Amino acid sequence: MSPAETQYFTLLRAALWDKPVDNVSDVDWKSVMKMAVHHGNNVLLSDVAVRMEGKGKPSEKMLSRMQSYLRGNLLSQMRLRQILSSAVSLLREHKIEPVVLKGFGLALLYPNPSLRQFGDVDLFVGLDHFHEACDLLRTLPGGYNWGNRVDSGKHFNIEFGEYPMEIHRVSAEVNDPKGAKTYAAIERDGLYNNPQRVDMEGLEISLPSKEFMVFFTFFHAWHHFLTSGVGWRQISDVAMALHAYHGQLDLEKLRQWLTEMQLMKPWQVFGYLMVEYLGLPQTEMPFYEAKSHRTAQRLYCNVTQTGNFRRNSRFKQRHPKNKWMHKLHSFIGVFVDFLYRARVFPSEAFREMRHSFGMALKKMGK
Amino acid sequence: MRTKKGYVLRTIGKEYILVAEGLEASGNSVMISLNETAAMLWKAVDGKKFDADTLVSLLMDEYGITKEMAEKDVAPLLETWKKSGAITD
Repeated sequence: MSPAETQYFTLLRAALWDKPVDNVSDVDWKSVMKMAVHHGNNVLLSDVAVRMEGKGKPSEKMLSRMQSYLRGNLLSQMRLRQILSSAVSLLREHKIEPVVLKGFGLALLYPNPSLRQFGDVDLFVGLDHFHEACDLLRTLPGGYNWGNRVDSGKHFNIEFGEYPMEIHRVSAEVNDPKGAKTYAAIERDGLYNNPQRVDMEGLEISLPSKEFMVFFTFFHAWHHFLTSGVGWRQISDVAMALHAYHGQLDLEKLRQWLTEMQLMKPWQVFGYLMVEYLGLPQTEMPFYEAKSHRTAQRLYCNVTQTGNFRRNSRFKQRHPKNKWMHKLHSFIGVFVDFLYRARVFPSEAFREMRHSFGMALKKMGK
Repeated sequence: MRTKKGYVLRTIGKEYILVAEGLEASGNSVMISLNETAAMLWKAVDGKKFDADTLVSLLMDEYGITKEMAEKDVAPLLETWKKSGAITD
């Protein structure tokens, strides 16, 4: 691990567990913040940094950039919260109870919810209410869409200026038919049948069941790993969910879901990283497996090199301008990404590559 | 008077910021930076009925200052909160 990586994890752990930063001096802030941006937690680290005193403190120029991260994020959360409040209120008037997915719900699990970055509102309404909910929500002031009822198999998108809202009829798409059927049953249990009601500072919202929050957060991180690159933010989300719900989870149910979706091995490998690098207490990591350390080391390299949405990938950063060269570049990118992933989880990466390869071929033909 | 629903006090770094987040504040893009004292007062009266005297008493109790000094501090603060729509009569 490089000195900047060591400093990054020291600061990240301080932020996640709301503890003072210890033993950090001469921080390489430029490298640390570059890493934080790539992993989607620059706001979290900025908050720690601006409160620091003494030798490790950032320069005035860096502090000013951090303040703008913090204020920008607050502004964006304010607008998203207003959109969420309006949407939830409108749907309730029509007897539809949406379940809030991802950003807002996950933020509540952090010591300071204002610091967990997210850029959209995700509402799950299910299959039965999907079309009605889309029709209602497109009438909200400031909303804009392209007239399509369904943008993807999973959700419908409405833009409120630069802030999107995704209305989900399913929470995730699973490529293979058997896995999709299993996932649908898990979704029924965790989203349709057992949502939890929580108070979000004056706004009561529905969240998935605690088990589904943990499972889905991990599943989302895993999906990122297989498709677009996973960052430390997604892995931190799983750690925060496990910590917040420690002692309240039906572990047998969680074990069953992970086993049925063939995710127990990835779960244990990610878990090793959460314990070793993010500081999640081992007792709070269900099904912890110390033997995962070798694969975990390879996953660590993948996560650190790739970042959230492959932001850290050199391959992604250099796109040729020529249309055909651009397409070829993307095509090769799919293959290179596969090689990186295959070093960690060969069979899972191969399955995903088969799917992505087919999609890339279709794209090239367009 | 009363704090308006939908206004939430956030702490980022060393700053306290009052943010208009709720449905009642919809379309109102307000972020007010508060100092530590103002943040303490907001927390104390948030969601409750209060008047200028309530704030004055809180300041006198917390910092042991005279009534005149407290009134001097409270007047501009209330003006800011009113102007931004964070409190209602």
